[in-house]
Amino acid sequence: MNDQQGFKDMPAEDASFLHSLLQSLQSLDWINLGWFAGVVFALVLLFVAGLKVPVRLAFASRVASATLVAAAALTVTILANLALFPPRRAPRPHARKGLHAVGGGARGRARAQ
Amino acid sequence: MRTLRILFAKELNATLTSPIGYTVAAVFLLVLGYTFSLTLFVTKVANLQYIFHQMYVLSILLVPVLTMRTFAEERRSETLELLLTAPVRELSVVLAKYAATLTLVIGIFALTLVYAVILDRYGEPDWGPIYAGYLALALHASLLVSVGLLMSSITESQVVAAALSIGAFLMLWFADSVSYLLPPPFDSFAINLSLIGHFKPMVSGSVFLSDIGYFVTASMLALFLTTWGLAQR
Repeated sequence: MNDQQGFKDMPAEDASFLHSLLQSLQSLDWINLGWFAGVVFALVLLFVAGLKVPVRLAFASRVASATLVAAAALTVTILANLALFPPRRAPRPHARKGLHAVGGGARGRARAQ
Repeated sequence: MRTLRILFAKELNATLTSPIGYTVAAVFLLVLGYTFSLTLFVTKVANLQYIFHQMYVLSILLVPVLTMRTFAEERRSETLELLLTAPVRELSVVLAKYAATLTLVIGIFALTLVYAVILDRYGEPDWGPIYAGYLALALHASLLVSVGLLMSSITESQVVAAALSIGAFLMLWFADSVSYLLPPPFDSFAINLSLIGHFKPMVSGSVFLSDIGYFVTASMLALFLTTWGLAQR
């Protein structure tokens, strides 16, 4: 394609591809994407800060320190996942179980409701 | 960054010169090729969902074979101390091993793109679920590799590391089964812990940020624990 050619001169297939790409980009929920990026970035910061934690905490033995740090990291990860899973989309556990029992993807079908 | 690049090149070289990667790739592609041909001839449907599920299962069984040697081998041959006393950060060591192994796994997955090309040549596949499926597989691989590294970092024996990894993956896979026995809200927690519960919607074309977040955060947790564990030494 030379400089004289524009979007309209492209083959129909390419134009429709660009069109669908543009449509999907427009349909993206930028607020949720920003929230997602923020949560992940906060988790990265917490983990990087966690690497600075001394091997042995002042008030605990070595094993207790390791357990404490691992438990804290796990808790922070669970909280991050809760933050990424908005309450309005949180499926009812019993409804999901019922869907799961008939062989459907519990999560996907509950969301589709 | 330069240190990380050098370590990555070293790890990638070690991975690519070892016969393990090629053996795993050969087994992986052999089983997948058989399944793909069989499924295509029987169902005559141009989609890869069945193949993605097959890749999910196979990667759970085969990724531990790739990750088991990462730290366990270094511990056994006592080169880990050398590496950790060198002027490099533990995080760089872990990230280099993670990136090298993940590159190999994603490289093996990328070879299966030929199935999508075949479907495109002879049919009209729906590309949305295919793109989403490969995204799901990449995230899945990231989680498996990071947990595999964690397991390899806590033992000297490669076999023990592989067994621990497979055990952890299977527990994550079936985590939602225990939800039938748990009262609310713990049952919901168990369901959301499940690996397949986050994989299945993506493979069917429904990409949710919460599912991506599960894989990303779990990978980060495993990498953090691996790095912190190494720093303890």
